Amino acid sequence: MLDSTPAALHTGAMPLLQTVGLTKRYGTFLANEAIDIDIWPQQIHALLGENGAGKSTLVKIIYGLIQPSEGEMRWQGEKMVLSGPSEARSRGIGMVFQHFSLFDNLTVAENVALGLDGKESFKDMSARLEEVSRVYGLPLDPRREVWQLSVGERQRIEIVRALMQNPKFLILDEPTAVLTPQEADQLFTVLDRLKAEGRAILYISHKLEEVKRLCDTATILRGGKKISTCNPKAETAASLARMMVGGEIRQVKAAANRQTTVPRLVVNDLSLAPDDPHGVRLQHISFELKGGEILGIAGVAGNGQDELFAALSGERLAQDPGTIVIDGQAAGHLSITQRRKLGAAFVPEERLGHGTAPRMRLSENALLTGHAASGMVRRGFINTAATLKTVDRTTETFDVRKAKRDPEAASLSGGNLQKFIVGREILRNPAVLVVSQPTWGVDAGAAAVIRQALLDLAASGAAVLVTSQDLDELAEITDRIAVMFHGHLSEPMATSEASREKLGLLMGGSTLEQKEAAHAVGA
Amino acid sequence: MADGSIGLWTVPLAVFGGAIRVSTPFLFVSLGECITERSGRINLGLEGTLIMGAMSAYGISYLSGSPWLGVLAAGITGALLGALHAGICSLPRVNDIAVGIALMLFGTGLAFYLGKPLIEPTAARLPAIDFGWWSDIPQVRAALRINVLFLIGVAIAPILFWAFRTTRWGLLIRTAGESSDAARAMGYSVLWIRLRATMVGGFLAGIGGSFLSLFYPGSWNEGLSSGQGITAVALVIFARWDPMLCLWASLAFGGAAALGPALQSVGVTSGYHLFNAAPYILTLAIMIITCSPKRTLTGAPAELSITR
Repeated sequence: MLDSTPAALHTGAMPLLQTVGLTKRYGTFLANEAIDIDIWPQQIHALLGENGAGKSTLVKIIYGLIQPSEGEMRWQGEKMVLSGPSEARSRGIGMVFQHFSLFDNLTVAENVALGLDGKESFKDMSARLEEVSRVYGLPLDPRREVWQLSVGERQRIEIVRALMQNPKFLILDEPTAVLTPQEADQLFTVLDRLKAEGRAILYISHKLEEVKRLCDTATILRGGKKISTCNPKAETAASLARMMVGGEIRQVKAAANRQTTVPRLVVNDLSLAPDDPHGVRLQHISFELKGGEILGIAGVAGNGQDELFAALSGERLAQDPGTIVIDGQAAGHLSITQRRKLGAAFVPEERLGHGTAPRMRLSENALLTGHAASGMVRRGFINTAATLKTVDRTTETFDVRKAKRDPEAASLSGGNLQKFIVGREILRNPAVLVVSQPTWGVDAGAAAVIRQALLDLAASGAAVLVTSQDLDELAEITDRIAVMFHGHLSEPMATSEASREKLGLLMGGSTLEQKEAAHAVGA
Repeated sequence: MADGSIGLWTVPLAVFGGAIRVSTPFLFVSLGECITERSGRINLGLEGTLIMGAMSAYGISYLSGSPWLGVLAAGITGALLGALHAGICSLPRVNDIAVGIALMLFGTGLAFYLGKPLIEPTAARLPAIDFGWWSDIPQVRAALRINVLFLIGVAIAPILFWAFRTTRWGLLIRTAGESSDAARAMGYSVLWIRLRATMVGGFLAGIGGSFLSLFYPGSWNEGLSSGQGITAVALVIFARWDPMLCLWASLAFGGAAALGPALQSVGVTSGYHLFNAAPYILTLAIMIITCSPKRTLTGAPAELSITR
């Protein structure tokens, strides 16, 4: 399996980029250990691994953001030492980051100009921007301001900016994480074209089906080491996952006896103006969620999911109390704590700074949400023993790994902190749980634990609402799925009937009726 | 010794006595500001609060004859000014530093206006406890005449230190100062927490002011506070938002401020104005010694507008 890429496939005699024994040490911790990778022209090379496997460290070294502790890089056969990203760019290495570095209040052209080192005039640059975006089928209006653009369009800016430097080698960090299935397909067309032009692409992703379909070679990292380089088309998704995790991933399964009983969370015609000028207006949102049921909300980020979460949790109050009903009680006008007392629990998307106060200890964070319904405070004094017990119970039940008994929230890894936050809410046995992006940026092992916990909670009779951009996750755990687009929520459909195509169309804003009408005309 | 002269011992003794007397307003204002800043807001208006506190304490003490009623009035005045600051700051897009400066000027001006008739009369002053009864030396006795307010301030510092850690209110104040989004998501009203924290901060600063007019220097005039309120706000940063360090920093400041007069009393007069600048020279020196390029302000509440 090792280095099984047939040499005949390579057009050039030598790789474009070689890393030899690349090692990065932080104190005693090895983020990368003796990594050898060959990047060939005219190939899409996947880089696979769980969070913390060392993917970003490796990519940062290749892009010149950090220096390796040992080992070297060879560019077209010659030793290369990068002083920084601008030298990487001048040699022909481009990168599209997962988190965009764009300024909302500047236009597309201004943003691109800021990222280029060139000396050409703004006018020439704008013309070239239009040219590049037209040639590659990445339509962009240089005069529009970024805040008006969708996430997919923002990504196009980053890609066009990278392409304007005519790179020989392009690195893409999880580019499809924010795209609808259709937008992802468009991106694949562009990548195939770049490959045909003889460029090399390093493609970081954790979507294995996508990698199998698109990539010629895959390198798998685990714990900072290279596990294997293989041909992903010859592997199955399961075998790739095994290499990434180093064992079988726990299968998530639903309990058999899930009774759907009375409605526990009802939303009636909820409309809400945004409180920030770039926010989304919620428009006539209605749904009903029964006990024992999990409803998924799909959609591209920024279509009103955050605003819906804020309205449901009580961070923002609804005009009319009756628009949100928790367990038969009108709750639209109630505060977060009052809603918690009705038996609702909320897990926001942002772990640090929203779900927890970063520099405070876990026990203090547990107290902050839990005090309403437990004995952690006595006459205004904190009962330290009780808060620590809550931490211990959550740690044990959800396998939270941490260095100390009660560390600061910010010191936990993303997956472990997420397990703690979800666990903290689930252990309160909520009647209604509203959770946003439960496994965002969480490794596969922790994600399985969290998904199973949500299924178990529903099986015990609670109503669970999950917002996620990961369609596979929604397909795995939900009973019904609805899609948010521009502040509207589609009619929920049974998960068994929600094909990726249907969901993708709804995520892009077309209704199913339109699609059927188009079919009728075509036929 | 027999003639009651203690020679050069006068200087450390005077510095000690001065540390206790001069430090009290610093102590109260910095402890108050410590509470406010821990909740994520800066109240620069405490200079105005201090002077308003001094004026109202003097006025009420004069009218009622009870200095303790004056102290209470000073505290209430301070709390009201704190509420005003917090109320204005809770409006959208209002900067707490700008509001603080406005309130500093407003408080000072209002105090001088309302306090005009109080310059002449003499109000009942706060009593002091005589800890120097065992000594025959007048300087020792003078240094050990300690006001009750100082003792109360010294007691508040460890209580506050402990309350930040072990009470729910302490936790809420720290959460509001660390991450207002998290506090809001967890169901707490950050504005409400900060309103209370600013009011308590104003209450303590007002009491600090009552010490100025009712004990040391013990009169009401327009030159009463020479920027002590604003210096105390800076002390909080210097003390890294730790109430116990606020106590030590206030004492060091008070001692340094007493250096000039003490040296003058033993005949060193040449550098009088320079020695009066001792607290500020001390501040600069400590800032330079403790600064480090590798470290940002440790202990700084993340929501503070100066650290964001």
